[in-house]
Amino acid sequence: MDNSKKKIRPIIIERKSKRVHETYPETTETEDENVDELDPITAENVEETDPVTKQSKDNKESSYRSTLGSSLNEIDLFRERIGEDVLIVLEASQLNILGQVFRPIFTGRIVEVTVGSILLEDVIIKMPNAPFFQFPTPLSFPIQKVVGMTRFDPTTRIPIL
Amino acid sequence: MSNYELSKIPYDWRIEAIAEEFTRYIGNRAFILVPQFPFMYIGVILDVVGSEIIMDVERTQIEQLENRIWQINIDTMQVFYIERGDGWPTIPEF
Repeated sequence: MDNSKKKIRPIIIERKSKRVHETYPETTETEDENVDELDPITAENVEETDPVTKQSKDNKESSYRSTLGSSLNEIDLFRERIGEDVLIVLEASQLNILGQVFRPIFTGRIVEVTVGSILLEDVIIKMPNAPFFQFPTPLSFPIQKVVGMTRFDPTTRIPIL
Repeated sequence: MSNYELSKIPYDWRIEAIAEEFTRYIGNRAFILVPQFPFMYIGVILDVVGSEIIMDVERTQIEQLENRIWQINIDTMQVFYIERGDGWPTIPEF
């Protein structure tokens, strides 16, 4: 198990496969599972970043894993949500796909968190005329553009003003 | 004022990390949404220079702006997806 974790590419902190999530459909159970699984992983990452930051900055890729600076610790907030359904709101007032204008409100399951961005799977774009439009690919969101995030049941209907 | 200085440090790291992600997948197709005109880019990543992505864009909002080289700033991107192969979904033809 330790070996498999070390093979993960440096920029990807954790990716939870779809199947793991599907085997525990009840939300209460998944929360417990996630907490149990994530604790050792975060602990391991912290251990690994310690020697990395002591090294010279020659190894460019490894430097992105550093979570030692207090300014970067907010990615831990995203990391502990991996595998959960969330709703996120972006900075832009509106976005546009081929003439369809919509407010940047998305729901999806977090599968990957890097220093720069978070990757959501099964993304639903809250289009005004199609509130459950599921985008065909996963989507990444630059963390700097995410103004709000909350845990969210994707089947909930919300008014989009 | 001082808050601005502090917030600038991680911000550059984030842009660098996203640039690194694009650099890793040079040659793959990518999908980018920006809030400004022309709103959407789909195309092949050719290069990444600092915080600019050089992209051979095959699809945007406007036909006249397609099939040319675009230079897109990472800073203004709101949403993106890069094809990875390896069982990950591909970007459909819109």
